[in-house]
Amino acid sequence: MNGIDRRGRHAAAALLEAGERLAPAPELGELRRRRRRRSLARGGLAAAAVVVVAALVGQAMPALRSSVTPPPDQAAPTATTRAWPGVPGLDPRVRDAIATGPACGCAGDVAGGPAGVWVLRGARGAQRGRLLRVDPRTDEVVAGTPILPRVSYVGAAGDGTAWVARLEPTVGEDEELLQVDAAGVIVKAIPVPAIENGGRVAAMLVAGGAVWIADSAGRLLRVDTISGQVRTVPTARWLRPVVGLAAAGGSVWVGFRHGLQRLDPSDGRVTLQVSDPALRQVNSAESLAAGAGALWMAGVGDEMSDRLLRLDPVSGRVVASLELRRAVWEARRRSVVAADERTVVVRRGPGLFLVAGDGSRVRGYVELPGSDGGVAVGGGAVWATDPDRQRVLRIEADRG
Amino acid sequence: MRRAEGGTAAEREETVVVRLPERFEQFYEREYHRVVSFAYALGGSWWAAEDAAQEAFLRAHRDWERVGRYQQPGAWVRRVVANLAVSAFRRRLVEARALVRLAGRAGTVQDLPLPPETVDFWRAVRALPPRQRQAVALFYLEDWPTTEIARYLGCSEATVRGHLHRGRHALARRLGEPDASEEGSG
Repeated sequence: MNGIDRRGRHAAAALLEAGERLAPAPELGELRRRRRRRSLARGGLAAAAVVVVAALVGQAMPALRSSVTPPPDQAAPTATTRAWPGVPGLDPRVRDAIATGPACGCAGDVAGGPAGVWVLRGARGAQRGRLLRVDPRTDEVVAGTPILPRVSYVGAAGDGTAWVARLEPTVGEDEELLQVDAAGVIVKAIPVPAIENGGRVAAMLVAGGAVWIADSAGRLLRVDTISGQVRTVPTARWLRPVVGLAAAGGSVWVGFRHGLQRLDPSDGRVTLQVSDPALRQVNSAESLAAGAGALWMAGVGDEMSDRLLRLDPVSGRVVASLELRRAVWEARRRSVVAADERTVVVRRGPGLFLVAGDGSRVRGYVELPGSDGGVAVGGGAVWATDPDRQRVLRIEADRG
Repeated sequence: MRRAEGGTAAEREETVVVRLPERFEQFYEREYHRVVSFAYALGGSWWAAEDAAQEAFLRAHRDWERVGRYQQPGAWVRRVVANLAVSAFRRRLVEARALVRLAGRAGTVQDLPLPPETVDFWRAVRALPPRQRQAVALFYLEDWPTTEIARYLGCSEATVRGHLHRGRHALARRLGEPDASEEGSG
């Protein structure tokens, strides 16, 4: 090594050492906050520049002043309104509206988990989407992850991460299952076989060390979250399609349009085919969820009403049945049920039914704006997407 | 990421080759200081170097799904940094911002505490033409072989050897060291 090389190596070592001593690597969250502040400042600077230019133009050409109409109010869409009385014009139980951008408006566009509330933004169309995480303590979007298009389902895992499945075939892109952590970082990507014939994800569940994905083509996949192994779980052909997946009583439950099966979470083996005649109170099941110590199945009851069944989480037997009245104009709305340890809700289009934990009565009804969208329970509140207004609504089920 | 081909549809579903990107946090922890140092070597201001590195890591983070699967995500980040670090306007802006940020703190604003000979060396590196500067910085700071530097700069290995040869010759002349031009370039 000659003199200049020796000097170069010393200079490199001194630089690295001094850098590590002087400035530790900042937290990623701090970086993001710093960038956000800078973007805001840049926006403010641009606005100030516009004002100055406008003032100069106005001074230079007074004749123009009379013809210039004031600009329309272009305030940003409502972000968060943390204090009561909630969101103007809506039911007082709607506490907050968090701007999320265009949601996909599908049943699986929102999920609640230990890390907060996950919302899919604009992911069903051809454009790239985003997976957002809302912190229920502040009602702010605290993480965002770019995701590929045609994602229609997000599932929250118990470890604070979320899974999104993109299985609808796109040109030049692999189909995959992505795991996103609370910071919005994609920590795992697992290639998964595409859905054939233009189908879509119908239900998703993270349970038993696996992600379970049911698609509208009638396929049920079990994807091992550690090894990434993908297995097709055989399902009863005569019961298809799958309308919902839930974990209760140590098993994975598969809700079909006309039936219910219990699976072993370790291998997907069918351990019970529920044959309770009371299940037929639901003519056509549309959704399945677990919570409040039970399994819940929602769907079409008859011409006039929908039905919500409370099922035993071990045997699958019907223990309570509840009628959800339906107006004529609601006939084509799909019922989506969501639950956690304390709260059970059913969303049908713009209507949200708050259900008693024992399934005996509807204890409240909240009218939401807009049309279809997903619903989730988590962080002590109910969350419903409002795709038309590009926001997610926070509803306090226990208030009033 | 690709699936294994051949076999029945069921076999294809069962047999998958999983190539997962490294966790971004690990990558960030490992590379952060080296990338800041690289930016400093190119730009000469620690504040601007930190700013450029953070910006580059944020961009990588935003697009980690894609960047994480590159053969060398570190090279990608350094390329972004190299583009950001050399802008004099940006450097001044960042320094002004850092001064504002630190105005309320005790003590005075100071740049990186480095021995004078180290400061002289990197100042001499910054006086080199851009491509030579990058090649020399990667050679000493990152200890990259010429093949990797060639891939980073998008040129042949011979060109990299030429950059290193001329760069070290210029450094030796400027710093009063014996001429290295006769001893190869690594």
